[in-house]
Amino acid sequence: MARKNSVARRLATRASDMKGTVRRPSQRVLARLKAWDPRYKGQVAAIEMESEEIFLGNDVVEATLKGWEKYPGRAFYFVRIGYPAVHSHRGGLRKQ
Amino acid sequence: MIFDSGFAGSVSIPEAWADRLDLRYAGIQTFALANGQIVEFPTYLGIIRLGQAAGLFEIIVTGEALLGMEFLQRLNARVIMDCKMETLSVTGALTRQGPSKSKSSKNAGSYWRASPPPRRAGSRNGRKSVTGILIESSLILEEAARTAGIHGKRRSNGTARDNDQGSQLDSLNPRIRE
Repeated sequence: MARKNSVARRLATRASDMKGTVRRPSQRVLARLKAWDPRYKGQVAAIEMESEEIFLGNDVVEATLKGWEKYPGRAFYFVRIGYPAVHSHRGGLRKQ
Repeated sequence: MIFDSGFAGSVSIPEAWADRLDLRYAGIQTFALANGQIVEFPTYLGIIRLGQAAGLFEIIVTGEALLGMEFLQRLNARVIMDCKMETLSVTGALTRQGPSKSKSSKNAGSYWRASPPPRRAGSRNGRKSVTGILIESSLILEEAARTAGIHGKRRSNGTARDNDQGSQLDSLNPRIRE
């Protein structure tokens, strides 16, 4: 039963539920990440915005799954430690 | 879909495609553009199926359909661009062909297709080519989210992929419920 509930919570996080909810990490969290720079450089950090907890992974998928272990269905803000952005795009994406 | 070597991410799809798929929202991630500008895009997780194999990938929703370098990296793919023949072939750790050509041509919006690779290259590597990628709509099931890493499990339908190449791609897969 508990498992079913956790699945329901997770599946409730759909794109339509989350539109327009962009929150950025606080300076305190970013300072923590900066301190981790030498050791975890290149790792992707998924920041849970409510608790400001950080989950590390080699890529976005891994960091998200680690985060969803503790906070199922939550949205994260992704940062690549030691870099200004998670990915780069040299073409020019058009933002919708 | 455009194969974009300048795109470091995994997969980018247009919003119209995203509406048809049952993607799971993961959050916001930043991208550095060529002019130094940092932009944010919504990120979703979804299972991408290549033939009989499937893996969990990050998908961003933009105005373009792109395949990025991270996608190919996770597939251990080898990309051969033949400028003379004007073909692009992708070989990777795959053992099965993707959707048939006839099917993919009918559903061009859902498939990414690459030209078949030269037979010589395929036979030299002992690998078959990818002919199609279907972004599937059944996503992030409880096993996938419960799995902390991207540790592979064989699919429960008993699909036989018993050689090493198949198991390489399996290692990308979260546990998938049919």
